Amino acid sequence: MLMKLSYLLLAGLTNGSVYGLIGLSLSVIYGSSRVINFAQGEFVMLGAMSAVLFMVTLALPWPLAMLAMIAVVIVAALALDYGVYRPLTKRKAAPLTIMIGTLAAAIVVYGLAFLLWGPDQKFVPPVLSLTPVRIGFLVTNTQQVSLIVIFLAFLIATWYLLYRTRFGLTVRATGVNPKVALLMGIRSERIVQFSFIFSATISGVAGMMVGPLLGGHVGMGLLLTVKGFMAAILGGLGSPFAAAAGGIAIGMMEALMAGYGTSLYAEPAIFVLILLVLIVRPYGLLGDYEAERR
Amino acid sequence: MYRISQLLYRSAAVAGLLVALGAAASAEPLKLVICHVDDRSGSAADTGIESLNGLKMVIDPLNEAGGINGQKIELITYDTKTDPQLAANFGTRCSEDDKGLLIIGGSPSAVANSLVTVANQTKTPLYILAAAAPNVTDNADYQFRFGPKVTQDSIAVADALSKNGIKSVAIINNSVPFGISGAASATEELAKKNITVATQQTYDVAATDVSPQVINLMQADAEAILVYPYPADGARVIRTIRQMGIDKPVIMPRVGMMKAFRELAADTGNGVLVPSSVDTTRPEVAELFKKYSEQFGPLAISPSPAQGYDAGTLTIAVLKDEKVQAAIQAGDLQGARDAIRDATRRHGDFVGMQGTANSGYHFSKDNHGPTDEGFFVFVKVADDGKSLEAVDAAAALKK
Repeated sequence: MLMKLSYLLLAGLTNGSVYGLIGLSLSVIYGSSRVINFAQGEFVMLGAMSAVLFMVTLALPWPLAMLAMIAVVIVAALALDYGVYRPLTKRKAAPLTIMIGTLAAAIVVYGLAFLLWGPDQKFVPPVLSLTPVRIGFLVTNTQQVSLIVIFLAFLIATWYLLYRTRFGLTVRATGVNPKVALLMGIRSERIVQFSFIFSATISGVAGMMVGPLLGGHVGMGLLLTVKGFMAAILGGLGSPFAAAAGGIAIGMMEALMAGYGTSLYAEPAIFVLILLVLIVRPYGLLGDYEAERR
Repeated sequence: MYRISQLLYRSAAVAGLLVALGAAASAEPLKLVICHVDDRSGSAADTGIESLNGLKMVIDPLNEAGGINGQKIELITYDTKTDPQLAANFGTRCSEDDKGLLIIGGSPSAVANSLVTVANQTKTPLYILAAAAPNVTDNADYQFRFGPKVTQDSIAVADALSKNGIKSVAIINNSVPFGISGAASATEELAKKNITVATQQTYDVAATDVSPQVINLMQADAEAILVYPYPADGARVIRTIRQMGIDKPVIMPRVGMMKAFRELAADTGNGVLVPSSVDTTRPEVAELFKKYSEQFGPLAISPSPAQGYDAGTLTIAVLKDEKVQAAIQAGDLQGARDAIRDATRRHGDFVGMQGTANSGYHFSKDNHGPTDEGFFVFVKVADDGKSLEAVDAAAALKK
């Protein structure tokens, strides 16, 4: 009984960490620009597929491969900023138009990746071992556990950056009102650019770590974006921490539903649950609290 | 008046001559054109490439030996890129522009469905290769399938489990149509053999950790586990099963044979059982795969070369048929196509490179595919996913 519950909680935490990482990265961009980045999943895909390129094709050791992968996703983030966000904001495009722009960018990235890596599912080499390890009476593997550790590390880093540094204050100020922030001497374009880079790095690392478990595929970004977006909406899109909490909540609900209820209808049941939560709390579970904190 | 009637007589004579010449021209024997319309790029590229190679292994030696009655077979190839619209265009081109006698292809079900429409509209015989969707041979007239239906895998699994006295099975499948329909067809066939499904677990393909479902499998304590996944999530499921110390036999229809699954599962995939329509313990089949590897490069056990080879073998038998040859020599294209359809039914009872030594194809007016029972053997994943080995299901499933 206790063993089953422990396994379910661990699985919920593992899956929730992946959703939470993507929710967190979606929310970082939304927090500074009020734009939902539909190309977020492509950063995850680039993370996984770059691992294939650098660790398999070029046979680099994983620390070097990770640095090279981060360079790739940063280039992609800058391309998104200079190619989509800035030209559209300069022309005073509405957030919805910019969102469609990010969707177009996602399709272009997918197309390029398809040309480069083809349609097949690729083996992504694990950074850590996939050999079973025992934690008390639970058996898991270090690659899975590392997802939880990375999630917590990025959560703490984001909290420190946003709430314990002067730079974080400028990021939050830009998110609240970019024009007023500009009048206060904050270069809001730079802030948004930073959020694109930071968010791409989170997603890229998530992709590299989750790739060995999910398999690398050029279409993998879409599925994960949907779950990340659900997490952000459930928790509260305006706050990275609320979005991350939303990810954990979805992961836990999935695991408990699959463990004690019916796994066949777990997904639709979770969507219904999210809908009910949003009817009661339209800004998400932690939306109001986080808005107040700002 | 005389001149006018003379002119009319002469015109009539010229017209008559032209008609006679035309008739003489149409009496030219038809060319032996067949088309291979299948995926050779895109997600199902391997199936089309392998089946075309298998087909060439039959046709090339025949052409080198002089062909049929001195006529060589002209093989026209089209790459459908998993695009049903493109498949329909190429099928029509083969039938109308190339004057093809027969279309061979359609490994993905979507491509096969497009070709079925073309075959019925243009009344051109179609030999379908790997497509697993049962409906491609519903109310079939001109189309015949070489690949087994998805339900035939389930029949083979249920049969093997029943013969080994297994009474309870756990099923785990992903939440996409392949997983759900595979599990449903297995449940149906297991019920016919009085085998209980102890639990059925479904998971999302994007779930990193499938242990909630695997714990339920463990607690159900079934005698064997049936898995219907995609390659990557299949690897995740088998890794979790092994991680939790479950040592029950695991059967993974179709996906277990795929290179992507074997590569991703690595050592945890060892011992996974897969029903296979190719029995490499038969000497002639082993010889085919040996020759294939020598000619086209190394290949693990795969049904596609055998399907192409068998389609080619039947094509030659049919083209040599007396009635087909009569229509070909008379230059009657539709007559030849109809004769090929009828000859396929007459020559269609044969044991090919797919199936077992006792059970092969059975084409007749009412049956346009392989036999439902006895068509499969079992293979197991071995050598950390690098190879597939023929295995005795009785020994592998022994309690």
